[in-house]
Amino acid sequence: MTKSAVEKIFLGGLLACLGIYTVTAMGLRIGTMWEPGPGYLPLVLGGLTFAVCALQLAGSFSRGVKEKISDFTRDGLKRLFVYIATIILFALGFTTLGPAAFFLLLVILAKTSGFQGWGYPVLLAAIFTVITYMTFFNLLLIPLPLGIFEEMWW
Amino acid sequence: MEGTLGSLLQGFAAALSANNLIACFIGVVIGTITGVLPGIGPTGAIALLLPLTFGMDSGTGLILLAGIYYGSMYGGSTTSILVNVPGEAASMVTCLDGYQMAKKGRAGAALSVAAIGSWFAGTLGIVGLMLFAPPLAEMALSFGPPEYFALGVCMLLLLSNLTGASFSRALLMVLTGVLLSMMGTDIITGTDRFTFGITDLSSGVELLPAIMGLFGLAEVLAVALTPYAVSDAAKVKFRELYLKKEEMKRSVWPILRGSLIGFPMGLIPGPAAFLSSLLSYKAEKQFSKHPEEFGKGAIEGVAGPESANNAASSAAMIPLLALGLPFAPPTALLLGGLIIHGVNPGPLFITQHADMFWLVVASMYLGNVMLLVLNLPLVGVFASLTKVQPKVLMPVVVGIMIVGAYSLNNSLFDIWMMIIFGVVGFVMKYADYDPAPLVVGLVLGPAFEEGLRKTLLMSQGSLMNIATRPITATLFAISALIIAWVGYRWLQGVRRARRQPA
Repeated sequence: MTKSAVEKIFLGGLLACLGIYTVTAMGLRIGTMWEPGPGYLPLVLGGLTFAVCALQLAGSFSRGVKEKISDFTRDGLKRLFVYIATIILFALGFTTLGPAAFFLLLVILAKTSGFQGWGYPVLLAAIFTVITYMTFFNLLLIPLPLGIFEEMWW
Repeated sequence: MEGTLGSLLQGFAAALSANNLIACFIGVVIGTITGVLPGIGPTGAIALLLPLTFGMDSGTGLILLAGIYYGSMYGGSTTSILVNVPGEAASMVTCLDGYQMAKKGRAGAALSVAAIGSWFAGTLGIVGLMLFAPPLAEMALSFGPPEYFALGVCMLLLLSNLTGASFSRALLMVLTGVLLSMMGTDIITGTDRFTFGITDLSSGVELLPAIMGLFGLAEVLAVALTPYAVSDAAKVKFRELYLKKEEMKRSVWPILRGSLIGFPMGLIPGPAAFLSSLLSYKAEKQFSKHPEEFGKGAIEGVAGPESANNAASSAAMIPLLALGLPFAPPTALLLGGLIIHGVNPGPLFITQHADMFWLVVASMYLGNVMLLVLNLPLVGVFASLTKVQPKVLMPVVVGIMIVGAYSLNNSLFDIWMMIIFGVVGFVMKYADYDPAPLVVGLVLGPAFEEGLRKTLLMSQGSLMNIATRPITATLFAISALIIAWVGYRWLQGVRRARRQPA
């Protein structure tokens, strides 16, 4: 994949979001220039940003340079996908599984990052989970979700 | 002057309390470590560790975050000299001669001169902060909503040069940040805007998950894609840290010049720390009696740039604390930290929170001494951190970020926001869009909107009522000049492109 392609994807996505933003702003009370309503500035700035983004996108099509991104290797992309998927799965299960979800997240990320065998990832994840929960509960007084371990903790 | 000294002494009295001393120590140590570690810069480190300051009072939290910021400038030079890998961008220039000195067996001397230069320049920067920030804030006290709005327009245009990249790209990001800041309940009418029925969005886009995603998670995803290589560092013994008489003599002027170059550079929006080190290197090469030694291990090539980048980073605290304006990406995060702690940064900060301002100033003096004392004897320990492998570091960093985002409101929603911003930040990285201007827009957006709406109401239907106010008119004139200058440069670029044969 080229840098230019990534730029087009990014600007295309941003342009779509800005379009939705500006259309949504039209649904708010706009008011007048001298008595602006809650939708006034979002509409004006949304339209302006939309125009700047459209110009940038048009510019990205006219630029001829197509520099390939060497970082996008098959292994790298696999790791990236596992990272994102694991974090999303963690977010889905954090409140239910509590520290178990946190532990599993760390094990999978450590293993994906290149640890051979399971010993070190499990050890690293266990130590870090305990330290994190202890620090947040006892030192910072911030309760992290315990999920199925709720009764066991108290 | 007497008042300044009295306030400073009060600041020292507060900074010397056990809590604040520990926070300062932890801040500078973490700063040094992040300066050394590849993959996490000062901006990412501040983003990561913001949640740790939640349990602290705002002054102590700010001391810790500021410590990370200026500590990272020290740490960056260690890897530049020992491994030829800059820990952060501002230390890139130090690689040129620092690593060559290490190859000649003078790594200890290079580290010493970098530490001494950094300490001197950092201290000079703090003196500047102490002298210039209060009068600047006092001047800004006469500002009404029109002046704030004009300042906002001017700053949003100026800060579009925050990263030194393309103006149009940065402007797009600043505007996007301002638009994001308008999500949530409208401050004046109480109307929900752009919440799409999501209750959690009523309070707007929270800064912390956005910052953590854009700077932290995006960086982790980039490392997951291409893990950094672990490097072997040159070994340095404590007794090798001494400077020869000749080296000492050759370093004095470069340190002074570097400090004087770096300080004003820090007052200009943009990548000041990096640019000032580059400028200082060029200046030293011109002033040197041995220009042929540059690039081959000239001590001036380490002393000047290291002093310059530290002076610039201390000076960047002046617009932040006096006006609430971040002129560099890490200071944008410090500003975010202040807001998260419920402190309203801006011209009223020094007046309303004088105790906190002087506490931070005093803690910066102490932090600089701590850095000097710590960095020299522990250089070997810090250098060994370059061997920490990404497979150990990255899972831990993700863990810290996740609990950090969650702990803001004890809500999963913030984790989701962090993930979204993380993926967006990752794409932005490969599309060559810097997230720092977006954060600036997100931070300054609410004040900008409030200023505009109050100004329009005050104008009573006539723009002349606003434009004839002297400060407002000057600020608008500067804004117009910036736009004209950018337009002129754009036209020049188009003409140049047309002249070139296809």
